Amino acid sequence: MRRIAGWGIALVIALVVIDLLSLWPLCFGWYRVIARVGPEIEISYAGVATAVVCIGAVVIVLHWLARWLYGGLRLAPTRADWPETWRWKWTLCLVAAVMLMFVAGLAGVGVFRTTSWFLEMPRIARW
Amino acid sequence: MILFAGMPSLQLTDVAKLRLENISFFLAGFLLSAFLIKLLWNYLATDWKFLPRLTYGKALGLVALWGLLFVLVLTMISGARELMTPGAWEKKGATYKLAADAKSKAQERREQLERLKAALWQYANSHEGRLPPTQAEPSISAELWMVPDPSGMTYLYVAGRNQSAEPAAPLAFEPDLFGGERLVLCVDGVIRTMTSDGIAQALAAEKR
Repeated sequence: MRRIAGWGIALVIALVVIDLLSLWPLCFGWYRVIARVGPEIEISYAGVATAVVCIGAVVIVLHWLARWLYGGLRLAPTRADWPETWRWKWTLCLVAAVMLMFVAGLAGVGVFRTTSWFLEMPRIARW
Repeated sequence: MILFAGMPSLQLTDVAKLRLENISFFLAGFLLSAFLIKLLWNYLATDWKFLPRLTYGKALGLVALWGLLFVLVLTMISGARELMTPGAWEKKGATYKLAADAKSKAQERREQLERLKAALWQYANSHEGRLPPTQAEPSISAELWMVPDPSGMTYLYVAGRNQSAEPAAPLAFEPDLFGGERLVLCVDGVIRTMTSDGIAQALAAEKR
């Protein structure tokens, strides 16, 4: 009960601070950006097809290479408890991780650039 | 937000709100990426026992480090670009832009305001010198109100004027998007360059 009350108080304080500093756009502005930019997105079907083919090729080649490498590494006696073969889900996880890290990198650069643009604005607020 | 009884109140400018929304978008992407990285990592950790469990805090750290590496690489690329094309880049705020781009951008801003002026004057000529009462006036295309900028913002318009008003009074002007100087279309049809303070003073002087 005390824990819930603590979270409740923290939430109220956070909302007051957000409101006092006019930080609503920072908390929920992402939704407006999607609403604004979303309708302008044009899907390039050729691009999507290229991406699907490339990702498929990467998955197949990576799995083939990883299975070969894993088989060689697993021969050492200390690694006898390792699973017998390289698994598809590992390949898929690795490919997903690489793609995700690319998105994460873009997001990081985006935060950095947009913040620098924000800070160099001549006038941020009216008092 | 308005606070009463002498309490301070803070209102972000429209451009600042827009910028904060953009930061919010990338921040959301950043937080979501960290969450998905954590899920993936811990999923793999069920098979790969040598991997420690990744907490959300550590995933955030990992993604932050990765983002900084991206920034570092991009900075190195832009440094190399500057070395290979000396003089082609002009400092604008904290970043650099192609000098040719900066010049054509200034021209584009002026041309767009000229187009808006032509439409406003055409309207005034057919309405005994009265300028449109609102920006929603259907006889003026919505595209003409758009500032040439990806932000999608429109010109700020002082509604209810007519052509016989004070000649130097601001009629339509750019939002605070392009640094210190903003293009202002005045009632006499001249496009002037003014600072935000100058515009605010001109508008305040009229109210007095």
